[in-house]
Amino acid sequence: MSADYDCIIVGAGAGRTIVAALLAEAGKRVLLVERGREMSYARDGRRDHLRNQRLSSHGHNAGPDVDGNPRVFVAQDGTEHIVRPHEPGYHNNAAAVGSGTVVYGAQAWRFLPDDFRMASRYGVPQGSSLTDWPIGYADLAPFYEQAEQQIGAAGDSLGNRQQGPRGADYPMPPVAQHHSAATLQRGAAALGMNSFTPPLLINTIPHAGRAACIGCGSCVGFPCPSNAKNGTQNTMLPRALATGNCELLPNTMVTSIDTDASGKVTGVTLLADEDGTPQRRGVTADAVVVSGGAIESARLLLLSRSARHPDGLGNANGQVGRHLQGHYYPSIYGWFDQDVHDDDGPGVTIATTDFNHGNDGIIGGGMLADDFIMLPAIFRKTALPPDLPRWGQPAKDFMRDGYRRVLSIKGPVHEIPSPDARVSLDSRVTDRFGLPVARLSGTTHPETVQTARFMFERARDWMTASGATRVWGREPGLQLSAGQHQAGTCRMGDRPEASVTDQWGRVWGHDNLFVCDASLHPTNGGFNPVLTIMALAFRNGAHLASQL
Amino acid sequence: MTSQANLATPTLRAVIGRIIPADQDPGALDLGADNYVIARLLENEPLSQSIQHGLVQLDTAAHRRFGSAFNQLPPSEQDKLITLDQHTKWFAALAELTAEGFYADPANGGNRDALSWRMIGYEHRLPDGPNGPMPKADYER
Ligand SMILES: Cc1cc2nc3c(=O)[nH]c(=O)nc-3n(C[C@H](O)[C@H](O)[C@H](O)COP(=O)(O)OP(=O)(O)OC[C@H]3O[C@@H](n4cnc5c(N)ncnc54)[C@H](O)[C@@H]3O)c2cc1C
Ligand code: SF4
Repeated sequence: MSADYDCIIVGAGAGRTIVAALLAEAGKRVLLVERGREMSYARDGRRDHLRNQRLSSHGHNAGPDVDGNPRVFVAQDGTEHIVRPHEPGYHNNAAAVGSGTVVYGAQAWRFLPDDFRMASRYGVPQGSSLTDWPIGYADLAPFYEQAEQQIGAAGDSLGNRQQGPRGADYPMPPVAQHHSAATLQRGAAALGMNSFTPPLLINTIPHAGRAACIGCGSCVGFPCPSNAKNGTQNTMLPRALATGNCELLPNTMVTSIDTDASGKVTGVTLLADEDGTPQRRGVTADAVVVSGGAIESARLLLLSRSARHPDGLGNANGQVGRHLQGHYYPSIYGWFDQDVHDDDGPGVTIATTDFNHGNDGIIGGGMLADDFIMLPAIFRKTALPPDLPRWGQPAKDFMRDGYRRVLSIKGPVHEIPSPDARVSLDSRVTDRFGLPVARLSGTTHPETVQTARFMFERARDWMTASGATRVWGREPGLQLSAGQHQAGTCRMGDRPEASVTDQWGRVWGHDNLFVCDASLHPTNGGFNPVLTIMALAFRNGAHLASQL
Repeated sequence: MTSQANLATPTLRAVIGRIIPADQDPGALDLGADNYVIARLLENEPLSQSIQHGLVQLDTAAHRRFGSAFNQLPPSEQDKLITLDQHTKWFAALAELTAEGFYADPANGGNRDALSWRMIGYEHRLPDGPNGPMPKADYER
């Protein structure tokens, strides 16, 4: 009997819509299943400053819902907490068609050549699972270019002196720099640092039939008013659907990957959720691609237990869910005696990659950049000096005088992973469908804290050299990270004993089961990860299209 | 269960009025941040209980120390009493909620006409106004 589809793709986020488009354009019949809903600016563009993917004090705008989707977080002292999506310890990214890419900040970084060979360059600290990628920068470079060209990136092609060799220039010019960048540029020059405008997946000019950015003051966390922000939902998804070969099923959860008696993957079980009464059904396919994000992809493999695979699919060596990582994000704030604020969104305008590698006695490092425009509520919650009272005249004066005089420098640190930072299934807590939820435990390797503190000091130097008269921030401490940059839980590698997939994302021991999302990253670079996720999807999607 | 009437006391409003006081610019009470706080507390019974308990103690302290209800005291004496409580969990939570309402988008109910944004100099630059496109039902929430 022939299968319902050539390929089923679980999750419609950053990676898999690309795979869907490549397969559908190659004539394959594709089913794309997403537990979240479709979003549009008209319906979902509401700027709720307290319920969004950037500040989720009381919920999110891009899912998942507050109720029915818990996780269990195990703190460093061993205490367990049931957490809802907007609460600390949940490590949410998003659940929607396009996932985080509908509302992201769209920073579009290529990793540097040395990011792919951390173990070779630095050695492996005891107890860590630092490793090289099974592929190098040169293998990914053509696909970084495809992502930049086809999703639509704007940047300064020559600005980043540390970058690996590139072919084509960015298809659009970088965002304009204003006086916050000029202020920080002075500091960079005083320190002899190379600084430049960071690349963004944003239309700085009209592009691909859509308008340019109108510079609104609330980019990150929200859908775009001019549809200038390039996510997968407005680029690759329309391409996939235009072929007529790709069917999109939103509001539908994949609850297991199904196998036959011989252990071969045959399809998935779906639970549709549209009108509140769950409907369960099975669909078959010649191949399944799991792309649920690093936490949910691991959870789904673990949930797909059977007599033949008692510990879940691809988990014969106990690797699924381990090496969970994200990014420490050391942040520095500085007070200037004059107005340094820019009103033009998105806000992030200047970066340096001088400290990603080659720091004495430090493993790796990270990129540093200024911040997106901070919404007033975010500024109040994160930017106040630690010794300032949170009430009364001093707090009000600080907001009034400081909002336009404070700048922030921050950046993602290349983490040193630990096998003990992991996603497992909780044995007690279930979601609204009765399925065991993800249980998050452990921390990164402590060596990450050294790198993060080093980067914190570099941010401080840069801020001070730029003329800030007062500088503050919170010292990084040991933590589990995952969150919006979650990665690493189904790492690819050369050996089944130490990884979950081969270099194409094919799960060891299963010819027709693939992972395609940030779960694959053996290490997560010192950069926001999405362009790397997209590049891997272009590479692995083309490979899969040639195999099916 | 806590009701709106239990919560909307003169003490609560007086404390919120000191968390973001009025000066040349509007304060928390002028922009409706008290209504925002009450709406959030109605969704969170444990927090609501702890804040009500804290407020009762604050009022008791006001009587003991200054011989008057908290809301009748001059601001300088109110601030002295709050300073003693500023690191307690209930007060920190109340200060956070007040600031959320006051500095968030106007549709959250505590930042009438986006006046706090005018005070600090934030520009939303959205074609449809400070809240972005809003379904009507949301406005009425
Ligand atoms: C506010 C915000 C700002 C960001 N800014 C940046 C930035 O500037 N630069 C950058 O590089 N990155 C940024 N990111 C991060 C970026 O969006 C993520 O790294 C990226 O989306 C992760 O891609 P992924 O493919 O691993 O998973 P995701 O994009 O999370 O996709 C997973 C999808 O699978 C769905 N799913 C999961 N399980 C199931 C299931 N069982 N059945 C059906 N569907 C399922 C989920 O609902 C989700 O939609 C940002 C994220 C957010 C939220
Ligand atoms: S800053 Fe530009 S790209 Fe970002 S949401 Fe606003 S208009 Fe869109």
